[in-house]
Amino acid sequence: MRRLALALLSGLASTTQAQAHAFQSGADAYGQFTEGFGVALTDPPIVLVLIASFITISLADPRGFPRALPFLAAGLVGGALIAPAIPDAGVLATLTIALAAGLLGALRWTKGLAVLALLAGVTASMTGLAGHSFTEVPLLLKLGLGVGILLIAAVSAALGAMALERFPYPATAILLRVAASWCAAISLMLIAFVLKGLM
Amino acid sequence: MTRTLALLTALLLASPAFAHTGEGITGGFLSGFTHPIYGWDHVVAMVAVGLWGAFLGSPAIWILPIVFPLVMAVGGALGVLGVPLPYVETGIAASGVVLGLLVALAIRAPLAVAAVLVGVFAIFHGHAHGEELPEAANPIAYGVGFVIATGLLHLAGIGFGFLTKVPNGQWLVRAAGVGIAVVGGMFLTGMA
Repeated sequence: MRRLALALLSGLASTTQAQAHAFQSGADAYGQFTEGFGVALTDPPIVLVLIASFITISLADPRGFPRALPFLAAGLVGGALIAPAIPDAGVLATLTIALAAGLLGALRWTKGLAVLALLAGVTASMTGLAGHSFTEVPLLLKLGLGVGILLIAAVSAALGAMALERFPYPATAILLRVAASWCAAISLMLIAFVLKGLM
Repeated sequence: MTRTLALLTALLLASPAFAHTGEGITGGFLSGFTHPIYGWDHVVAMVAVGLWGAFLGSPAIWILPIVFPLVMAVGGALGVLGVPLPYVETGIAASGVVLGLLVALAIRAPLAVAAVLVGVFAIFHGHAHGEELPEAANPIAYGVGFVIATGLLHLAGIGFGFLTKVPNGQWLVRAAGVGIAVVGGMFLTGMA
């Protein structure tokens, strides 16, 4: 947990500002990686869909992240492939999945969560690369985005799992369910903001 | 318990800090966070939800504070999108009266009924928050702010509602319900 926290902090300290995914071309390799990483960490729909989905997964099974990981990874690749065809309105799909994930977490749903991990990966990756052609975005930037997405998913699942295992009281699961419901509520508000043109 | 009550009192009496409010992420979060807190009509209803949930016991104690923010977000979305909802302020004031009376009279409703009632009132509260989104505020931070503030107010109500577990504590909780209903009535009649 300490190593994960240190890795997260160093990642956060090294991120560059993402300006509505207008990726800077010509940046050096490290700059490309950190730019992609920064997009994952600073895009609210991406963060929301991952937190909501992986809290839900950890609520269903505190050891569920390793089983969900292949589906998340497959979703990342799938999202990167379809991103060129997705206009910026694809963010609505991401927020819809975040809303659904939050509701499932509030209900402590246990079935079909592999599909949730897949959809979270697809929508997160798709949102990060939306509107850019496949060859336009450097590989290292895509890699940075992928690592950022994996990190948020892993930390969300780990925090949920750690809370449930260290504090095995009914209130712990309730607090996580409340957190999931807040993710759903915030997602709903963001959907309204997107429809209104405020985002 | 004494320390918790002292902390809650200090939090309620704390004066707001107005540095850099109104703009950007920080300003948006503060705007959203303080929107329910600075409106006593919002505060009493949200605390009442927590009180009533604590009074009804498990699972209402956590289902009601989950239902309210979720349905409130629906109302908030309607407010942001400009969908008209009649009698918003009346609905908000009435929520204080009704929820306060439910606590004061120790009404034990079935869970489904409680959830629907709380949900109906949540729409009005959410619509007011959404409609009053300040133009300078960061909308995402605003949304996050008022959802979190709502949840914390429910938590305060639940905390106070745990007094039902101590001898004669139930009367304190019911008295709080009376107070909430009175405040709601003042807003309903235009006295506040």
